[in-house]
Amino acid sequence: MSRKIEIMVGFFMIIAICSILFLCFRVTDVSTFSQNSTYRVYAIFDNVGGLKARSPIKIGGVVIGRIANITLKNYKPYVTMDIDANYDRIPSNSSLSIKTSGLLGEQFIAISLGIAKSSENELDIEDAQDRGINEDPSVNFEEKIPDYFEEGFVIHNTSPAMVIEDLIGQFLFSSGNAKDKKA
Amino acid sequence: MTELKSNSTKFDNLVEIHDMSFYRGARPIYKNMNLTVPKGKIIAIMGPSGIGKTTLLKLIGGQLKPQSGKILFDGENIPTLSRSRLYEVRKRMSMLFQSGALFTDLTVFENVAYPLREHLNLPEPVLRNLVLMKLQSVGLRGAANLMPSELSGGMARRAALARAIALDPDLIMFDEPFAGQDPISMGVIVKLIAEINQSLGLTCIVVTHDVNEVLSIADYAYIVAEKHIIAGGTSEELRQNDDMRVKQFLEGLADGPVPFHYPAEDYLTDLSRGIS
Amino acid sequence: MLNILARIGQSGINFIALFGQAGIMLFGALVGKPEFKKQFPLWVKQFYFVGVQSLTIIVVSGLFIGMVLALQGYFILTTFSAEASLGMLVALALLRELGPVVAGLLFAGRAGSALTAEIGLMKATEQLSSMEMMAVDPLRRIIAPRFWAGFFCLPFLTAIFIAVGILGGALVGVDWKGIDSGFFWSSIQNNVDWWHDTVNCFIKSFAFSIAATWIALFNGYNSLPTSEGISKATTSTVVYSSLVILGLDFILTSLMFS
Repeated sequence: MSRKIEIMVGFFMIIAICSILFLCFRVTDVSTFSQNSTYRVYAIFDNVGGLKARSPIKIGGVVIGRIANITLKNYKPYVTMDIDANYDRIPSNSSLSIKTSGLLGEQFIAISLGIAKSSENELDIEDAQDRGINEDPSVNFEEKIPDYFEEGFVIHNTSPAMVIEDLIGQFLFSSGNAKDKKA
Repeated sequence: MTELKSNSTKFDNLVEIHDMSFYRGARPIYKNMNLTVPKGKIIAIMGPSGIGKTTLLKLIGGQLKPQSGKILFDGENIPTLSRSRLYEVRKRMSMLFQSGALFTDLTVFENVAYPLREHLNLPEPVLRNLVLMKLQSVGLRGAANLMPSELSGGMARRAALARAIALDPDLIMFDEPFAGQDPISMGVIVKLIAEINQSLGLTCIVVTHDVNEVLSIADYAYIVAEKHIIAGGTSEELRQNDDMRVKQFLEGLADGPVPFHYPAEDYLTDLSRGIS
Repeated sequence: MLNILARIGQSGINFIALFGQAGIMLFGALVGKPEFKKQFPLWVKQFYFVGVQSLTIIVVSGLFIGMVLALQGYFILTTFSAEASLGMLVALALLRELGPVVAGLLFAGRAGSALTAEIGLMKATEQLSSMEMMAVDPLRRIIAPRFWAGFFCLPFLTAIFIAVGILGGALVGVDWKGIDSGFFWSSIQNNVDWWHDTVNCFIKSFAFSIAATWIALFNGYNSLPTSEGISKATTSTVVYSSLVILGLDFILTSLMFS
């Protein structure tokens, strides 16, 4: 009796642990485990449209991070973003825009890569990657603006979300104006 | 264990109740009641049903707390004991419940072994022999491997008795040990109580309303009614008591101080109400 | 008017008193020096009664809920030709809401009512009293192992429920309706977030397990020792734990997903 109970309980525990492992590895993408290896950058937009916390940030359609939260700073939308620490070579003059996946899909931030300053200088990219940016004495003259996105960097080079209602409104308004002119 | 035993000789009375009052809600169950239980005797507590005799045992066992008064067990006031001290004291008393209260998921053997396993760290062979000895003394050694559901009512009570004496307590409280038993098992239990008292020197408190059975073995008997003890004495003294209440109880008269009729308004007016 | 007010006040006081009693019971059961050697066999036994015996109902209902979810989801998603997201729909629905809640409700019905009835019956047959008279604390011996078994078993059962549900969804979506299995699983992996979905699911599940087990144990411990009292206690265990699970779910969801 007691032995049977012990065996059944063991069996139960094994099924439960298998299920938990299944949920962890088959259902959840394992790469999202690593929460701590992100760095935080900020961006100021004119209009964030339907952007929400946890919306993705993409480069060329690949998710590289998520939005931590959105607040107002000096009455402008101020977006806090967590970007995967593996992608630490995003040039600082890259621009952000808010796009919509599909016609009705969720909105996300797309980063269009700029040109890294260091590659304009005599250094080639491979070389720069070998050295830490902050320790590099050769880029000291540009201390205020780092070459790449890094912790605490604030991006001003942004374009606002396209709000469809506004676009339609503008279209109607301009076509109305055209009619007025004809009349 | 021996230390406890020698400790217990300090007082002549194992249990003393002084001026104890107990209320359930606003309803008084006991008012200023006094009771003494001398060491090594069989004490019977009798009374009509529903008078709170089981409550009295629970008060002595510390499961209920009186509103006022003292309940001394071997000199210690039960209601004011700390929790851990109360649990220590309880190892020296045990209680045989009306239903037996065997653990339904354990065999008879494991039931008797339960208090031993909980409180003593005995090696398995010693424990087994001890349990079998206890079971032998109640005549149930052959039933050691049965489940409680396979026992008859009388056997269940005997098994529970074996469990109650497992720790060799100083006091055993029997809650209605004869209720609902056939004459044979009633006789067996009467014999067992007397044997336990004589051979082990245990103090027994027997709560019952089976007058003849208990008076045949009790050294001293109390009758409880109207929230306190109305009479006490040996069985001879009780039988010669002139109190109408005692007479009614002992002889089983239908009407007397305890009325046959539950209090109601006048019979005739109640009936005539339906006619008019 | 004043009578109504008094009645409201009275029921409020009663509720708080009951809650306090339940708290004292749980405190008495769980606080104290642990006795692993004596407790362990009791734990195993309770894991059997609470966990293993609920396994069948959890697996079967998980399978069917996963399958029906996939089927309904498929019909709706095909109208947007978005059936590739079926996996995401099934997995998120199960992880965020259905898994913890339905497993909790089934647990309350299966294990919770059994716990209440068992303890109520132990009380009615004076087993708890006799244990107390043997100087054994019934809170430590009876309540504590059952509480811990319930506390750990419900999250385990929830994990099994969700896993089986997702597999059932895959069965319908992939094997029957012919969605590409790569699409199915990748839509799950891309949209299920470890912290946001999986961890929150288990937080919910632990909250439900505390609530359901606690209610079940207290109802049994506090039941009137009559057959009517036990049946009443069993009913109120199922009713109250279901209501508390649904209420807690709303509160937790609004905290987690806002």
